[in-house]
Amino acid sequence: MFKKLRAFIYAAFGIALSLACGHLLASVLGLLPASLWGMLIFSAYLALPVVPSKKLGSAIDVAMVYMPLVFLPICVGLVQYGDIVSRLGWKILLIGASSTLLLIVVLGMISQRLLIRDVLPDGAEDD
Amino acid sequence: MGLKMTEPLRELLVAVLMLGLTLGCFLLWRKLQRATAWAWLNPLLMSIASVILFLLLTGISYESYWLGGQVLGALVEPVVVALGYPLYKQRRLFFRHWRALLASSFIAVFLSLTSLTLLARLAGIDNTVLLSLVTLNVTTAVAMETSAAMGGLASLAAICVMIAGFTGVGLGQWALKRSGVSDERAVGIAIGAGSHALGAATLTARSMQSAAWASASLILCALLTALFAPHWVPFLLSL
Repeated sequence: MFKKLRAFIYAAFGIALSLACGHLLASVLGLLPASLWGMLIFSAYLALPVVPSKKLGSAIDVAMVYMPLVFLPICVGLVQYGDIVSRLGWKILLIGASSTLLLIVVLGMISQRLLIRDVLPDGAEDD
Repeated sequence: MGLKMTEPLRELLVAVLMLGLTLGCFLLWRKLQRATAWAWLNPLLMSIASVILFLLLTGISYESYWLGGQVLGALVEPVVVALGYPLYKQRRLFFRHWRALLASSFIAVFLSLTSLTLLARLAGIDNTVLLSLVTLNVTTAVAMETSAAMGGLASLAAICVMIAGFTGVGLGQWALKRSGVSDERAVGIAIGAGSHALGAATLTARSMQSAAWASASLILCALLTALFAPHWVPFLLSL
């Protein structure tokens, strides 16, 4: 129990530190939102030899399961745009689904025929 | 003597109730999905529908709901940062196959942004909705941030992300099989780029190899979308 709590505290500290650095980088360099800079920094933080990344990982894995909960209140904001949903809902659904299907098929074919075979010849090591 | 409730106390009570409603709803739908193992019973999607229905039926405004919702809303940024963990986990895949992953992610991002922008423009969709729609192929956290930064609606962007997720879950593997795509790595790249975490999660039942490639692909696509969408989409709209 204490070990789990300690892993959560380590993870929370790493995330807070990475986010703070992310805000700094976003204000200086721009390019990406602060949270995405933070994501890259957090990834590098986990790679540090002094950070117990396995223990932190188990804590983050638990948190990831509940990740969608955080988006729920913002998504409920859709209630304010009922007119958009009733007016354009079917168009959004049709465009979203068809474009996604097109992307999956085209990218799958390109990846298989051009990229994988060229870059990863037969017998290349898999992960 | 009646108990008089002060405004801060009333707000606190509403906040606690709305937070409880949000948590309860999500946990209930999550439990139901686990019990049925039905992907379409997505806890986020079902909770959004349930809470919206509750607000409409009770006449509670979104502003009142947000009093409690903002507690969770404040955690969006830290959650995006936590995505650094899956990125860390796939580091060997990234280092070993960076050319294949980078090239396929570039193609995916530009294909996705271009086709969505052009299709939405052809359908006569206005810019605010279009900017909420174009990020639908990346993971929710990044889609919401990127879309809002471009002038879209974060809530609509999240719903659009679900459309892409469910399309990939329902039809992705079938469409790839029909197109003759059988290489596990190609399947992973395609599903990860098109249907983000929802698609990648379903691939774990197929093979860990395709799931790992999907995770790597979705993270790279999210980063490239956040990087290029704010420039590429306005450029397409200006043509």
